[in-house]
Amino acid sequence: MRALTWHGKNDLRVETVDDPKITNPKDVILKVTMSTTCGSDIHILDGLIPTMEPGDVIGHEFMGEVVEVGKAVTKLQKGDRVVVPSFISCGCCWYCNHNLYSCCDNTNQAIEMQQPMLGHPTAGIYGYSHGFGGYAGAHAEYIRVPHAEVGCFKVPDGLTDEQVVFLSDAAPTGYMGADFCNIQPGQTVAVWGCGGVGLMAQKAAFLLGAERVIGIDAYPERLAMARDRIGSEIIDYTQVETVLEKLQDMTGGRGPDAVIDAVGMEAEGNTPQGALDRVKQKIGTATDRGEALRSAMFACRKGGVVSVLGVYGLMDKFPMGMIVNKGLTMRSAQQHGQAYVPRLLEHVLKGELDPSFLATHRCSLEEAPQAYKNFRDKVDGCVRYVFTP
Amino acid sequence: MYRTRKQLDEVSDSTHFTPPGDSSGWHLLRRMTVDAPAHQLTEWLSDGHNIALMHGHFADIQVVDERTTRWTVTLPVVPNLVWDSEIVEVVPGQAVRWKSKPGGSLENSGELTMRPAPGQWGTEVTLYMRFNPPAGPLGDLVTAMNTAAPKIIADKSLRRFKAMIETGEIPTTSGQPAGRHSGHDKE
Repeated sequence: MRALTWHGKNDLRVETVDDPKITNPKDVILKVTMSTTCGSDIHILDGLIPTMEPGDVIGHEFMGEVVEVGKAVTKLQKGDRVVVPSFISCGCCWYCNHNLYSCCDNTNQAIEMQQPMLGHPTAGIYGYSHGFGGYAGAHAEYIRVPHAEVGCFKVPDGLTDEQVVFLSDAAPTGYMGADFCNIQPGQTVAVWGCGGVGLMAQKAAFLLGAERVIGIDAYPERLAMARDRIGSEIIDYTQVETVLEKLQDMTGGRGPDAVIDAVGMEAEGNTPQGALDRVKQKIGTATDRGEALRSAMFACRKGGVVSVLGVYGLMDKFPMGMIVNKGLTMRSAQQHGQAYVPRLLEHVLKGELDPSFLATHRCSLEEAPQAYKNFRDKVDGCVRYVFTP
Repeated sequence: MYRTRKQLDEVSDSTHFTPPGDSSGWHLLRRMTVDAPAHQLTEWLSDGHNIALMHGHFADIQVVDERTTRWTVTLPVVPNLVWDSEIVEVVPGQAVRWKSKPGGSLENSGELTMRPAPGQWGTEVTLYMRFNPPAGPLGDLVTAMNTAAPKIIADKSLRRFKAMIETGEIPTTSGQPAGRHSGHDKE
């Protein structure tokens, strides 16, 4: 089959590799009908994710059609059209039983890579480095889905691929981030980042009862989406003196009740600390540029919630004093997608959520290497590419 | 000479574990929580085929008879390590203990002991292993490997055990598609 493989920093190739096969009893094989670029893949493209190996098939946000089922699979059959969250979860362990699916204990065999860094291994993920289990990714014609009955969600008739594919990652991640905020009537939620996850977090904040949602970014087309598609108020951080001051102005000097970081380790920002981050990342003394997270914590009201969806490695100079002295609550996780996809499908069916506007660009898998460069550089207002193999 | 549950608890720091009694060779203590009742775990561990699955990531294990398994560990440069391991005691719901038979190339013994975990967590499992490397270059190599590697190897065994009990399968990416080795990962 054809697949998108990583061969080093800024080196993606489409090549012919073996077809996946059923390896374990609970596996299915999907024919991928659509997959999409995720901002977290940019970190792979930029060489910031350790334990990648040349030849790894990348891609973790996808949907497809079941073409083969393992012998222990009874609830899925050939022809089922399904969407699959990015993390692989067994559905049996204590963590899965407590809706902490991305913390699953039984899907990541690479404990020697994660245990020294994290203390305990996380769940595996498709196409996102050997530290996360080394599973082949979804930018391919076919993909093996382990623990398929836990990971595959049947798509109701009448929905298009573009309405559904983002329920694999952007939508559940954003929804979880808003859920972490424990939103109460009358509250204001500010979201750093208006990419796929940030826009979905803004939408979810409204769905979960926020009175006001504020989207922060520097790209005009993304800010326009936040305003026009979601109904958020917007801040272009390059056009204000400081984000803090602007948010103070907008919230009577209190700050937002909850803040969501949907940016992560490659924040752009325009402050002196941001410039220092850039230098440290360049010379390899730090993995993370934490501008967005610091800014969010700074602006959050006292006693508020800081919800972190951005991907981070080992950030130094973390402003712990803000959490202690302002009494902030920090919530974070990789997406516990399996806990959210059913309710997201309900929102889509009721017409309350339609993420298809995120698909600003479309191309075939063969064009994926150039598409990733365009996605990274936000060429032509790109928010997301969707690939059809 | 096996330790009681209480004795193991008294020396429960797996980083600075010094076993009582025979202090020769090197020792390993690792822990895992498995979501299943203890009697199910001891029953599973009493079957040599399951032992082979659990440790299959570093040893090739053949079932010799009901209580005996033959272990082969391939090492770089030096000859393979081969020994027969015999289950010497099964206490249902509490412990499984084994030791190598005389004549193998690596004398060892070990035990898996169980106790109920708090709340809904299932059972806390403690793996204790003692290895007594032979004199000479082979022993030197095995001793040199006694750094972080045995802990990770033992943790992987426990993880595989847990995955089999909780999910009925062991996670793998063996032979999956990749842009290397002519289109796939190594088997």
